[in-house]
Amino acid sequence: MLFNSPIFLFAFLPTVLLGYYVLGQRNARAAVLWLTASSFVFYGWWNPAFVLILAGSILFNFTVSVLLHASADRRRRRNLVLAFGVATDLLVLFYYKYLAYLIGVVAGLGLTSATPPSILLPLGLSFFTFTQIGFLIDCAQGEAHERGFIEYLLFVSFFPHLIAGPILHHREIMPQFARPELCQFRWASLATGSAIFFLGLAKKVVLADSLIGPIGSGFSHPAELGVTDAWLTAVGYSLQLYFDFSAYSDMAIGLAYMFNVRFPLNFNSPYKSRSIIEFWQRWHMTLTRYLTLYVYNPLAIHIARRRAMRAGTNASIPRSKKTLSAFVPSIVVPTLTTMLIAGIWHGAGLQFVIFGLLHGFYLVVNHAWRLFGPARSKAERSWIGSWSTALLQTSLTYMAVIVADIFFRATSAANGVALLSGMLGFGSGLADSLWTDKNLVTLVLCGLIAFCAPNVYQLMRGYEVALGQPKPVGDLMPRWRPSPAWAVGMGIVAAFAIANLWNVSEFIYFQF
Amino acid sequence: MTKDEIRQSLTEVFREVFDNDALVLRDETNADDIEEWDSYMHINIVVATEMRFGIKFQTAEIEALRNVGEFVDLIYRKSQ
Repeated sequence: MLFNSPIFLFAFLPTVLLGYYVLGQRNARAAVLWLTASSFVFYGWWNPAFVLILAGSILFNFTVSVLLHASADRRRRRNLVLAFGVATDLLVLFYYKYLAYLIGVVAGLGLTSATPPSILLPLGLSFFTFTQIGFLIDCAQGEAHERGFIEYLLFVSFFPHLIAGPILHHREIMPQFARPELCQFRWASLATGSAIFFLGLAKKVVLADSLIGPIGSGFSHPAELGVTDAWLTAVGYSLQLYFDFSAYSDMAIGLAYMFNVRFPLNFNSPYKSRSIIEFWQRWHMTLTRYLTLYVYNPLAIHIARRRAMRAGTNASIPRSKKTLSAFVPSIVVPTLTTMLIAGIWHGAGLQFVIFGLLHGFYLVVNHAWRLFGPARSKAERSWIGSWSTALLQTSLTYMAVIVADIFFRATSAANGVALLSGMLGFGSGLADSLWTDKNLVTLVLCGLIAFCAPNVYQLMRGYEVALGQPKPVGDLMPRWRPSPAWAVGMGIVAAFAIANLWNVSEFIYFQF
Repeated sequence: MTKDEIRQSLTEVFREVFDNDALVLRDETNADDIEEWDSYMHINIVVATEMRFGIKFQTAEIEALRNVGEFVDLIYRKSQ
C-alpha cells in the first residue's frame, strides 16, 4: 500500500487510527498488537507471500538476540552467535538483491551459461535487515536494554518506517512503545501529524511527480540531449530525488506522530549545505548515522588502535593529525569503505559503486581541506566576504551532489557517463526537448523551496515533532500553529495534494 | 581513581588531542560545544582515552554517551 494511494488515505489509515485509540483506552497492549497486525496487513498488501519473509526475519533476529543475551558472559560464544546472525541476514539480502545481478555479470563474461533467475525483491528488505543487524550488534555489546518481544515486533514492522525508513534505532523507539500514555488520544498529535503528512504528500504528488516525465525521457536517451536538456535532466533529478525521498520521510514522521510516536529527523534542508561533510549530516541522516555507528566508527577505531599500539604507549596521544601518513589510514580507508557500502546498499550495479565512491572521494577531499587547507581568511569574516564564500561553498557542494546523483539514477554506468558528456556539450542534441513551461516553473519552484525556504521542521519549531533539532531560523520565518488560519492553509495544501492523487507513482526509495 | 581524578585526566587527554590548553570539560559538555569535535577527532579521543586509562570500549558503549559526564561514569565503571 502506498502512502499516496486513496486506499491508504481513506480506508487503511482512518481504520487503524480509530482502532488504535479505541483499544488504547481500555488496554495499551491491545492497541500495540492492533498496530502490529495492521502493519503486517500494510506490508502484505503488495504480495502476501512477503509477509512470511518479514515475519521470519523478525523471529530469527529476535531469537538470535535472546541467544546473545544468554551468552553475555561467554565472549567466544557470543561472537559466534553474532557472526551467525549477521551472516544469515546478509545472505538473505544478497540472495534477493544481488544474486541475479552477479549471475548476469558472470554470464556476461562468458563464464557461465546460466540465465539470471528472476527474483522479486521484498519491499523494504534492506531497511528492515539493516535495522535488525544494528540491534544484534548492540545486543552483543550489552547496549540493548529493551528486550520485550511485542515492542521488538512493532519496532521492526511499524508501517510508517517499514518500507523506506527513517532507519530507526531501537534505543529511541522501543521505550516509546512501552510508555503508558502512548495511546492516549490527543487532538494535537492528530493535527500536527496530519499537517506534516499532507505537506509531505504535496511535495511528492505536486512537485516531485510532475518532473518524472522529462527526466525519465532524458535518462532514456542521454546521448541525444543538447547541453541545456542534459543540465535540466541532471538538476531536475537532484530536485526530484530530494522532493520524493524527503516527502516520504515527512509522511513517515507525520504518520508516526499521529500515533504519538516520534521518529528521528531524516532530512534537514540538505541542499543548503556548505560542504559535503555537512551534506551527509543533513541528507538521509538516519543512514549516515547507521553507517557511522556500525561501519565507520568500528573500522576507524580498529585502525586507530592498531596505529597507537604500533607507536607504543609513549605515543599514546595521536599527535599526528596533520600528516599524510596518518590521513590515509585514519580517514581515507574508513571513508571510502563506508561510502562504497553505502553505494552498494542502494542496489546492484556499477553505477551504485560509482555513486558511493564519488561521495567517498568528495568526503576525503573535504576532510583533507579541513586538515591541510588554509585557515579562514580575514576577508571571509567581513559581511560580503562571508556571504560570497557561503554562495561558493553551497554551489560547489550542490554541483558535486548533482554529478553523483546522475549515477544514482542512471540505468548503467555508461548511461550516467553519457548524460555527463551531454552536460559538457558532447551530446548530439537531436532529441526534442520535453521540458514544457509547466515543468520549468515546477523546477524553479522546487529550487526556490530547497535553497531558500524553511523546512517543515523549522516551520514546526517548538513542537518537537521529530527526534533531533532542525537548524535554528529567525523569528521572521513563518511558524506553524494549530490555529484556524493554518488549518485553512493546510486544508488547501491537502486538497491540492489529494486532487493530484489520480496519478499514483511509487517512491524512488522503494526499490532499495 | 575517583571521578574527579578521571575528569582531570580526561581533560588532559582532550587538551592534547585538540591541541588546546585552555579547554575545560564540564559534565554537560558534548560534541556541539567544541567546534573541532568531528567524526575524526571523536575516534582520536576514544583511542587516546583507552590508552590513557588502559581500558577498551565497545563501540556501542561510546555511541550511547550523551556528554562528558556520562563518559566519566563509563571510564569509572570500566576501570574498577
